[in-house]
Order: sequence, then structure tokens, then C-alpha cells
Amino acid sequence: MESFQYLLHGFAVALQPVYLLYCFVGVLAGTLVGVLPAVGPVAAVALLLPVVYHLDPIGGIIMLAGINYGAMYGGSTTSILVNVPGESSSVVTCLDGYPMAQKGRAGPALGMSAFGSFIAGTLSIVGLSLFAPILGRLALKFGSPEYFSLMLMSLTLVTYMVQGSMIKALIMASAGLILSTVGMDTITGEIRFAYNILFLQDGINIIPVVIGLFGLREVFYNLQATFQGNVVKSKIKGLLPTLQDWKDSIWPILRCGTFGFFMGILPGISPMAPTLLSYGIEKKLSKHPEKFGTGVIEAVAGPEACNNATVCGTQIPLFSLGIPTNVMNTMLLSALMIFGMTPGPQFISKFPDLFWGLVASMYLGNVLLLVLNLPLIPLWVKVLKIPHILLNCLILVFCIIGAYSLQHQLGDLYLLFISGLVGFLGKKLGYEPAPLILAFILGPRIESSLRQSLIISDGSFAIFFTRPITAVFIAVTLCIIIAAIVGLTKAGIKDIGNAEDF
Amino acid sequence: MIGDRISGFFWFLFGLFILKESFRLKTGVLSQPGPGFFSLLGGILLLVCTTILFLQSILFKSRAVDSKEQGEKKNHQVLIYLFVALLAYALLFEFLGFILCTFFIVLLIFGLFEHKKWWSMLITAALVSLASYTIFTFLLKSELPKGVLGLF
Repeated sequence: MESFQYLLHGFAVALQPVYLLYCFVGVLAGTLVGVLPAVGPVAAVALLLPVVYHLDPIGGIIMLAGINYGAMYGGSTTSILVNVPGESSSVVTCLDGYPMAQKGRAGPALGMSAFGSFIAGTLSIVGLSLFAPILGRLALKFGSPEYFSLMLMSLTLVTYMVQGSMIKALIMASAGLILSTVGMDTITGEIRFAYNILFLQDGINIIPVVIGLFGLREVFYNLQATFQGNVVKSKIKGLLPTLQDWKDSIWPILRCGTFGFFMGILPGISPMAPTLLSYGIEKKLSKHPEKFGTGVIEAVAGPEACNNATVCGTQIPLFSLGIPTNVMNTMLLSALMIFGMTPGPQFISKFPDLFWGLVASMYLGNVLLLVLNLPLIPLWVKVLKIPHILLNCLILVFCIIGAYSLQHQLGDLYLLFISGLVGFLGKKLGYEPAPLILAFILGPRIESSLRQSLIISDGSFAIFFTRPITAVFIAVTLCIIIAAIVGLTKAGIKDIGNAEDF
Repeated sequence: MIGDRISGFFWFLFGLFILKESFRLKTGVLSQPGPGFFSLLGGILLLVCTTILFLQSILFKSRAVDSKEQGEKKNHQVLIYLFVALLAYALLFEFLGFILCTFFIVLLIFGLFEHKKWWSMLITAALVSLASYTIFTFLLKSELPKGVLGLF
């Protein structure tokens, strides 16, 4: 019940007109970004960080979170109307959403995915307000060895869940770990890998790297491959789903929502994987699995509900343990750090206004999205018709401003352009940037917790196996690695055949 | 796949370099790890992974056919121009200022990738650079360099 009181307090914070405005701007920007196939939500948050920098912490975080789940909504619009996923977790929505649109049922598909997202989003916010404080209290018992093994587990899970080759994901993760050591060593104070370049002595700034790897990469990619997609021509009408649609969809929404939420809590899960799984589950449970892929409404509603719930679930490890488990949350973490707050077990009790205000604003944001999304769909369709060269120019300009205006250093621009090129080459060769970013963000903390643990244990690795919590995390990590090795040869062959697709 | 081997080779060299540098930074002992300890672990992981990647690409013969079309190749060349232009952009950013630099880069992109009438490209480039400057400096309070335009 304690949580409930705090939540009420959170509403009092979030309902202040200023914060309501930030929330509104956030979800609107997020939806816009989600609709555009060129920029994903991660790049959007990275681009908008410099804007948020001038706001107060609560407003800034509310806005960034709004962009995050707004993009999840927006992504479905593009999937359904253009058959191009607006962001990666809407891939599944294309499978049945686009056929529905072709049959003239774009309206109900869009409507149902909005309702599904709303229901699942709302439910998982209740879950978030229940579970996050509990986990936070539990985490108070964590010491260096526990943190080390937990972060190792998240990182291993992320590399395992990445599409394509696990080996390449591991290469990216180790590159991220190495890059994170640039700058001052926190334990001895020695400067590492800086080579007398002033720009490198403070360490590499994550923001230009993220903008480059996720934003600029897309500009390069879009410019060399002409964007193909036909916006559904027919007029969109009748957004409200029929009673039969509701009957077909309500259980998938509830099932997939719950599933997505709990998958989100697991460290290392991005919204993409649970969404794919939930489509598979619904197909298995369906009375008519053969119709999946031809445009059935529950195949749109379920996965859409799932991806919103997962986004919410992933906030739990971020706020209660201070560990971001996907790239989006590393951006939220960076934003919190810009404001001088580091999430951790005491975060919720130390900054109750921010945490509960955020939770409440997510609830309000969901309502806003539902109200917004349906009437604005014609506008989004227009947005999709912007000439794509112009769109890419605009994204490029945003990338430059985003990378430069945080620190006003020229070095950040070079970093941005190089990361963009690396990201583009990586996309061509099948290297996913997510493990690199996560390893980069977790790197300093993994390093210091590992070194502290070794100092405590006087150089013995046994410390990671004798403490119960740590032992569990390490065991899970080992299981993942073994699973990967067993599956490796199979995946290896498959990967070589598919690498060109990325 | 040839791409795997080239990228793997690059990462392998990078790993070797990191190893060398880590030893220079002093890796310390297990009970008292030094500044180079963690990058040493990263470097070792990198070497192991690239070796596996390399073996994979030799053992599992590539089945993917190189089906690149002429058009795509040409576009790749254009991308190199774009990248060089971006480096020039960064080089001139503080001297010419945001507005002029952005104007030229937008013009260049339109010139490289879409052949329209010159006046429409000029107008678009001017609009994009001026509008983004106005929005970001006045509404969102970002500080972007004025460059030579600031002299007037």
C-alpha cells in the first residue's frame, strides 16, 4: 500500500502543467520518430539529450521516457501502412498489419495496436510500481562481487540475444569494454590510452558514439540504398475495432503484455526478442494458426502489447539496480548522469519525486498517446511522404547538433562521423552496435567491481562462486555461454548465409 | 565470407595493439590488479573471438553469392565522397560556422544523390540550415558556432 501512496504523490508531480507539457512533447516526438523508418528511438533520445539538458531533471527524464514509449506506438503505424518497421520491435507487426491494411482494414489494425499498447502499458506500470521498490530493497545487500556477476550476466545475455552472429556480438562487446577504459583509471588515477590528446583524457563521450552508431549509420545506409515502401493508398477509416476484433484480441493482449513485462525485467532483454517470441506463442495457441501472416488482428494486437510492456519492464533493473539492460536504458542512464544522479538501490528512496513522477507520467503518457494517436494518423501518413533525401539531410543536421551541443567540442564531431561510418560498415557486415554501447556504459563499473572484488578476495576468483547470489548469476552466465557454444556451429552456418541481409 | 575475414583481421590487429598497450600500462597481479588489467582481458577476448570468426569463415564455405549490382557499387563510391565531405565539415565547422557548413553539406547531398534544379537545391539547403539554426539556438538554447557570419 505504501507504493500506492507514493504513486498518488507521483501523479501530483506529473499533473503539474509543465510536466504534462514535457510528457506531451515527449510522446509526440517519440511517435514522430517511431513513424519515420529512418531514425530509431535510441537515436532519437540521443539526439534530444542536449535539448533536455536545459530542463530540470524531472521534466527531462519524463520527456525522454515519453520519447521511448511514444516511439513504440509510432513504430506500429509505419509497419502497418508501409510494411517497413518504424523501429526494430515492430518487425512482427508488419507480418499481419500490412496484409490487414491491404485488405482495407488498416483502421482497426492501427486502432487495436493502440488499444493493445495502452492496456499492456497500463498494466505493466502497475507492475513497475510494485516490483521496482522491492528489488531496490533487495539490492541493498549487493556488494562488488554481486554487481560484477550481475553485470556480466546482463552483458552475456545481450550478446546472446543479438540477431546474427554471437561471435560478432562478442567482438563488439569487447571493443566496448576496451573503449570504456580510455581516460582516467578510477582506482589508480592513471591516464590510459589518451596519447596526450586532451579530448581523450576525460574518456570517450558516449553520446556522439550512440548518435553515430544508431543515427548517422541510418543516413549513410538510406542514402546508398533507395528507400522502398509504398504507403497504403486507400483512405483510412473506422479506427475503432469491432466487438469481434475485441473478442479476438483481448486475451492475446493480456497474455503478451504480461509475458513482455516479465521478460523485460530479465537483464539483457531488448523489446525485439519478446515481441518475436510472443508472436510465436500466439500462433501456437491460436485455433487457426494457418491464418497468421494473412492479416489477423490478434497477431497485431498481441506483439504490440508485448513491446510496450517490455519497455516498461526494462525500467525495473534500471531504477532499482542502476543497471541498464538495453541500449535505450543506457540513454536514460546517461541523461540521469548528466543531471548528476546515478541510479542504484537507494535511487527510489532518494529521489521519490523523480521516480514516482516518472511512473505517473508514463501512465498519463499512455492516455495521451491513445487520445493522440488515433486522430493524428492522417498526419503521420503525410510525414511518411516527405522526400527521403530531405529527411536524411534533416537527420544528419540533428545528428551534428546533438553530438556537438552537449560539450561544444570539435572532437565530438569527428567521433560522430567515425562512429557513423563504423556503424554503417557494421550494418553491412552483420555487427550489431547494441553490445558495444552496453559494454561501454557498463565497462567502468564492471572493471571497478571486478578489481575491488579481487582486492577483497586477495586475488582469488573463488569469491564469485562462494557467495550465493553471485554464484547464481555466474551459473546463469555459464549456462548462456554453453548454450551459445552448442548452438554456435549451427548459427555460424546460418549467419554466413544471412549476413548480407543486415 | 570475405567481409568477415577482413573485419576479423582488423579486429585481431586491434586486439594485439591493446595487449601491447595493456602490458605497458602494467597489468598488476590478481590480488592487486593494475590499470592495464581490464583492457588486457578485453584484448584477450577480442583475440579469441576473432580467431573463432576467422576459422568459421574458412570452415563454413560461403554460400552467399555476391549479387551486388553495378548501381549499388556506384553509390558506395558516393558514400566515400560524403564521408570526406563530413570530415571537411568538422574541420571547417568553427571557422565557417554552423549555418554555412550545413548549407554546403546539404547542397552536396542533394547534388550527389538527387539531381534537381539548382535553384531548388539552393533554396532547400538555405532553408534547412537557417531553420535548424534558428530552432536550436533560439528555442532550444543550444550554442552553435557562428563562424565568419558572426563578424557581421
